[in-house]
Amino acid sequence: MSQAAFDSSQAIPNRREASQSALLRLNRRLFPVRVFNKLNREAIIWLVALVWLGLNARFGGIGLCPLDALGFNHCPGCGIGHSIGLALRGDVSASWSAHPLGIPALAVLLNRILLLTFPSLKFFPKTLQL
Amino acid sequence: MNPVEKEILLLPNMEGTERIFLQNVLGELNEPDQLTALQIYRNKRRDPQIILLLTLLGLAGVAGVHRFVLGQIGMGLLYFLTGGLCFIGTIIDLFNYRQLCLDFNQQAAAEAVATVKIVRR
Repeated sequence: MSQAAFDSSQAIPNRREASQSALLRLNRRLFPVRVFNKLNREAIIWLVALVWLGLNARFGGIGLCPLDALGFNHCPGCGIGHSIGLALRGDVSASWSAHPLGIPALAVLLNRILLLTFPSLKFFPKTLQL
Repeated sequence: MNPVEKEILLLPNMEGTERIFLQNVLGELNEPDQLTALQIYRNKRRDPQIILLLTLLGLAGVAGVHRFVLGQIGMGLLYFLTGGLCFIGTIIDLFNYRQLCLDFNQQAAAEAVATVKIVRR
């Protein structure tokens, strides 16, 4: 009886293995060394933010700035969302005039997303990790 | 309780995930080497509570210090120059500070073990 219970508990990981999605199994077969980390929560947030900004630059969407909602007129980051959105659409000069730091910001965010998703890749030396 | 476990428990604000990772990484060394690696790790480690406090500093106007402390110079500069991406980035990091800190600490633990291995070889 106890032997049977032990066997069923041993079977649980196998069942979980079997229920894994085909994509994950394909990924494991393609990359035996684990290159692709599970998509990190922070990476998802930055990706969604970038897509949202890219769409916003086209449709001139709603502002989300908490300082603006509080009634302040200026902050050092004012216009950077617009600038990143314009840079994503390829409009460099308009991006620069919206906020000069838009393109560097986009580069840093993309680097962060890639580092979070593929931890084994090293784009910069460790002392200069962006 | 053996001295290695005692040393691990002495680290401030140790969480389950970090402790399990630490035990896994240390498992390949013998006990005196484990203690040496833990001493190196104690200096490299970042306390999650300090990261939380530095993130809160961003709400007072000086954003991005936690990113500098975690070794992310680019993100730190971006946060510092844009007021924490207009406070939104700071608020995201207030949710996410444990994960940020855990990533840094896992890297630090792996480096500490690698250092001890190189010295012992």
